[in-house]
Amino acid sequence: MKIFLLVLVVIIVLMADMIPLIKKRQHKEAVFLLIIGIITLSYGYYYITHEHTASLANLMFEIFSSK
Amino acid sequence: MKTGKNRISVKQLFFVFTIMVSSPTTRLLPKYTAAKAEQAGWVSPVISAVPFILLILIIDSLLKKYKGQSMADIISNIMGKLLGKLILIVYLLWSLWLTAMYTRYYTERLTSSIYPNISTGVLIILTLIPIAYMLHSGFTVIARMSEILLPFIGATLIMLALFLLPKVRVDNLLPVYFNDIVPIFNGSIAVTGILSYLFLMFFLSDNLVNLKSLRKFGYIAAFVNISSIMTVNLIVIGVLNSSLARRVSMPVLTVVKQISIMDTIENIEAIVVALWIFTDFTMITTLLVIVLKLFKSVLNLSDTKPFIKIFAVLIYFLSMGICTRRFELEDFTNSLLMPINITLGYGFPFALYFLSKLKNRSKSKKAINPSP
Repeated sequence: MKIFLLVLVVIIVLMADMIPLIKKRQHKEAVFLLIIGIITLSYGYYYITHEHTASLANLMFEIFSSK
Repeated sequence: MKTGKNRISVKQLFFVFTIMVSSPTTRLLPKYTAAKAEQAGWVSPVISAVPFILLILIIDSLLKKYKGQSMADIISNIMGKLLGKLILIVYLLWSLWLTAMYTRYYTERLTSSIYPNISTGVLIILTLIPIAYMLHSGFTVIARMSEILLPFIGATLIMLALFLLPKVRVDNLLPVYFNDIVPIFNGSIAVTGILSYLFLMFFLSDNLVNLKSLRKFGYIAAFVNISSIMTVNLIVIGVLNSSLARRVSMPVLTVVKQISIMDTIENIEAIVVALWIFTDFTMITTLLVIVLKLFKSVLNLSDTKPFIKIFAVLIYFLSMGICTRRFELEDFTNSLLMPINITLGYGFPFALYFLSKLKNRSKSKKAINPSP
């Protein structure tokens, strides 16, 4: 259910901003909007599937090896 | 100072900055300085004035040299196109992290003070929707709103300080010996780290007018911010004492709860919570504007308005997934965030300044002795 909501919200937001961009022939902006949409979808999917363990702070601790 | 569409004055920028600083001032700094410098924690902000004023002078010098350009353009000019873009990506990731982190802190603060039964996700959505809506009108709205808001915040701080002054115990604040200089310095790291957000604000410098008065308003901002941080630390440590101030989850709220005027006016902590909401709202909005500006600079885009909504959705998920519990985030802030803030907010601008000086010197040498 949560994944369905995520996909729905991202698609609605993308469509709402993408259509005016394509009408104005701002293709570069449209492509980057799509890329950010894909990043949001993938991180959103990761967060939903790892809701109780997902922690970017812990990831940062691992990167800087300070814990 | 009159400003046009999408342009703000330096004064307005410093107003926004002061509101931004007041958010972590009430949440983090009294705890941090009390933990590092104990009873001398209230002196710590004074040390931070030195790097902060140096940062203002460096920014002023860079902006005078590269007139009409944003900080992103200045970085690309000095460091070269490729390295400049890489550095801008680092700043983009840093500001994205800060936006997600402060959004999470905002909701954590509300759930642990007045809304314990409301889910974090709902509060984040309720914050991000008005922010995304407001950003369509441009940053000038936030800047003008800050002009109205800051006097209220200042007046509230003075009023609360006056109410709490009779409860301050001098033996909680003194003695401060010469030996305390190292703990005071350690305590000032967080204050310096928070004040480093000023550099991020200047990624909006191409939207600024009246840059001539940057130094003047910079000095005023330094005085206002340092004195307000000192006041908050002094009141919290003076009322609670350092060992309690470092252990309480929200020391400012605990202190304000103790206010009682003639046993009739009590429970005025709602004022503090209202201020938190306003200051955090300004902070998140400003950071999101900086994220969009950096995104525009990195990818050479013509407009960022179409990206507001999708970035708001991304920040929702980032702030939800930034930590599993508040303890993790506080640990991260105390141990990792401050060095990162100081490196990116002070270290890099200082390096940029020296590189620009070196570049100038080599240019002038070439002009005197042109190679055949």
